[in-house]
Amino acid sequence: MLLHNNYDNRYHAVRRRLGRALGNYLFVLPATLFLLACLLYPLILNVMISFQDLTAGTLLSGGPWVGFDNYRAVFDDPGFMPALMHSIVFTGFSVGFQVSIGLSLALFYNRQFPGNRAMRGLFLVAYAVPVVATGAVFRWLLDGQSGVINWALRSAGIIDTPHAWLSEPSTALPALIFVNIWLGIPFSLMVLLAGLQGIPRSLYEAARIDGAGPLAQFRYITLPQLRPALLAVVLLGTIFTFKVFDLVWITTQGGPANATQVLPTFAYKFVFQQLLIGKGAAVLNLMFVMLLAFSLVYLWAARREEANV
Amino acid sequence: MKVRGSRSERRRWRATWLVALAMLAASMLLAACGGGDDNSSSSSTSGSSGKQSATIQWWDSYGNIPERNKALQEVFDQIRADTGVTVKRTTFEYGEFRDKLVQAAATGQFPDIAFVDQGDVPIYADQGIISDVTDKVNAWDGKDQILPNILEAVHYKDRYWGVPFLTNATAMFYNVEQFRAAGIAQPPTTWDELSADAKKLTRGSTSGFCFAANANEEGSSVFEPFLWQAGGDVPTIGDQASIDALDFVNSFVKDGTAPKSILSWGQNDIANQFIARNCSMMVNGPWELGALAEQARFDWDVAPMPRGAQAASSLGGEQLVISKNADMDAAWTVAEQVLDPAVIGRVAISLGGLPNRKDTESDPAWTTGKGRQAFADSVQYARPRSVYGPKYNQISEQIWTMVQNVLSGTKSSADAAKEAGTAIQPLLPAS
Repeated sequence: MLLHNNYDNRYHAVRRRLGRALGNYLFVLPATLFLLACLLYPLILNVMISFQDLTAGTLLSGGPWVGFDNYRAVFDDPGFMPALMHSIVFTGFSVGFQVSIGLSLALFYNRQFPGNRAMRGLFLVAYAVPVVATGAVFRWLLDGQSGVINWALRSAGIIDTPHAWLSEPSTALPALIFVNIWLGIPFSLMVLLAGLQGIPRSLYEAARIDGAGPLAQFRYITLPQLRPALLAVVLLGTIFTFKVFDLVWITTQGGPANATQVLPTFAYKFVFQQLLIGKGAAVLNLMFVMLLAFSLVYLWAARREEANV
Repeated sequence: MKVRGSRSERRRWRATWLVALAMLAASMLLAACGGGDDNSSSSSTSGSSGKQSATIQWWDSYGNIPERNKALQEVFDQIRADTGVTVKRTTFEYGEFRDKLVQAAATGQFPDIAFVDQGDVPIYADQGIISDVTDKVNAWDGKDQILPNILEAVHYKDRYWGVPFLTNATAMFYNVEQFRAAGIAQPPTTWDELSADAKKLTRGSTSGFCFAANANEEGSSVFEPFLWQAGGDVPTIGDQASIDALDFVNSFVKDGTAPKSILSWGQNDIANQFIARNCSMMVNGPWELGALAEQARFDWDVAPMPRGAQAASSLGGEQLVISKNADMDAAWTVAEQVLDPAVIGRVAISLGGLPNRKDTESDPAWTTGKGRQAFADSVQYARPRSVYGPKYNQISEQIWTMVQNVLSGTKSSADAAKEAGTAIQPLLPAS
C-alpha cells in the first residue's frame, strides 16, 4: 500500500504498535487488579502488621510500630525452632513419599487393563473429601482405645498391644505424616499420569530397538520427559504441605506436648488464642519468605538443568 | 552473565520486571492509605443515642433451640414494648464463637452485648474491647444475690467488666452399674479412694477413670481442680503441691486406669467414651447431662470431685459483657431484663447452667434432674480462671503442655512443673 511520505508511514506504524500494546495491556488489566487486591495488598498489609504491636482491639485503629521486635520475640520463643523442624520434617517426608508412591501408581495406571478408569476415579474421590472430614475420621482410626488401625495391625500380628498413635509424642508426627501422604497421593498421581501420557510412544520404541531394558527406559526416557510434571508436583506439593493447618489442628491441635506443632498452627495460636496479631503476622511472613526462597531456588535449579539438557 | 537470548526476549524480561515493580508500588500505596485509617467505628447500628430507636446487637453461642429462642424472644418483645430498644440476636456454634468474637473485635464490629467465656473477660477488658460496668453493677439490685466466688470472675483491676450469666462447674460422673459389678458401694470422696476404685473398675477395654488432657484449654481446665485440690495454685506452679498434683494425675496413666488416648480427647470425646462404657468415671461438666440422658443405656450418676487436701472444681460459663462502643443505657436496659433469674433459668437450665445466685440456689427448678444437685453443690468451691489475668491463654498453654509432658512420659513432674512455673511468672497480672 502506498503512503504519502516516510513520516506518515512511521507515524501509522507506531500508532498501530501502540494500539496493539494498549489492547494487550487492557486484556491483562482484570487479572492485574485481581492480583493486586487479593494477593499483593493482603501480603503488604501482613508485612506492615508484623512490624506493629497489634492486638485485637487495635487492629483497625493501628498500633505502635515496634520494628523487628515481633520477629525477635518469635525467634526467642522456645516453640519456634521445634515448630520449624516439625514443618520441615513433615513437608519433606510427605512430599517425598507422595511423589514416589504417586509416580509408582502413575506408571501402573499408564497401562491398559480393565477397571483402569474406575480405579483412577476412586482416587479422585479420596482427594475430594474435605480435609476436616479426613482429619476427624483418621483421629478415630488412629485412636489408642477404639481405633481400627490398631485392630488391623494386631490382627496382622504386627503389634501386640494397642498403641495410642496420636497421643504419644514419638508417634504423633509420623502418624500425621502418614495421613498427609494418604491425602496427597491423588494429586501426585493425577499430575504425573498426565505427564506420562504426554510422552510419545515412539521414544520407547526407539529405545527398545536400541536394546534398552525397562529400567534403562525409565531412567533415560521417562524421568527426563517427566521433568516438568515432577517439577510442578514437588513445588506445589511442598508449598501446600508447608502451609497445612486444618489437618494438624483437627487431629492433634499441635499436641501432644507440642510434638506436632507446625508453623501454621504456631501462628494461629498467637493470633486467635493469645490475640498477639503482630507476632502471628511475623511467623506467617517468615513462612512466606521461606517458601518464596525455596521456590526461587528450585525453579532456578530446574531451569539450569533444562538448559544443560 | 548468561546471554538470555534475543532482544525481544530481553525486552520481555524488562517489561515483566517493570510491571511487577509497578504492581508492588501500587499495592504499597494502597496498603499505606488503607491501613492507616484511624477510625474507631461504632459497632452498634443505633443511629440516635436516644432509647427510642436503639438497636442492640446480641451475640451468643446458645444455639437455635425453639424453647430457648422463644424464651429470649419474649424477653426481647417485652423490652421493646417497655423501652423501645430492639434486640437483634445472632447465635453461633460454640466451637467457632471465640474466633468470631476475636474477628469482630479486630474489625470494630464487636456486638453490643456478648456472652463471652468467663476466662476471656480480662483479655477483652485489657484490650479495651468491653466497657467498665462497675457503676451499673453497683447500682443493680441483683449484685448482692450473685454468689461471691462467681462475681469474682468478672472482677478485674478493681472494676467490674461484665455480669455472670450462665455458670457451670465440673464434677465426676460415674457408671453405677459398673460400680455395682466391681462391688463398690459409694463413689470415691478422697484421692486415695479414687485411685483404689479406678483400679478395681479397670477391666478389659474399660478404663476406671477418664479425664480430658488434650492440647487446649479443656486440658488445662481439667487439671486445675487437681492442682487446687492439692493445695496449690497457678501462680505457684513449680512448688511441691503442683508436683503432687501432676504425680496424682500421672498415676492413673501409669497404673493403666486411664488410657493414654486422653492426651487426644476433649471433654466431648470423654463423654462419648463414658456413654460407650469405655470409662467408668469421668470428669466433666453439666453440659453433658442432656447427651447422657438421651444416649446412655445404663444407670449413671454424678458425685462431687474427690477432695485432696481440699475440695475444688473448675468454674466455667459465660458472662454478659457490653461493648466499648455500645449505647450503654440501651444495652444495660436489655441486660437488666435478661439477668432476671427467671429468664436466665429458661435459657441456662437446659444448657446445664447451675444456680449462681443465692435466690436460685434453693430453687428446685435448678436442681431437679439426675446429677444436678451434685453440680450445684460443686459451685460453692468452684474457682474462676479469670483471676489469672489477661494473659491467661498463654498461662493455660503452659499448663496443658506441662500436663502433656508428664502424662506422655517426656518429662518428670518436677522438671515439667519447674519449667512451666518459670514460664508462667512473667505472664501473671502485675498486682
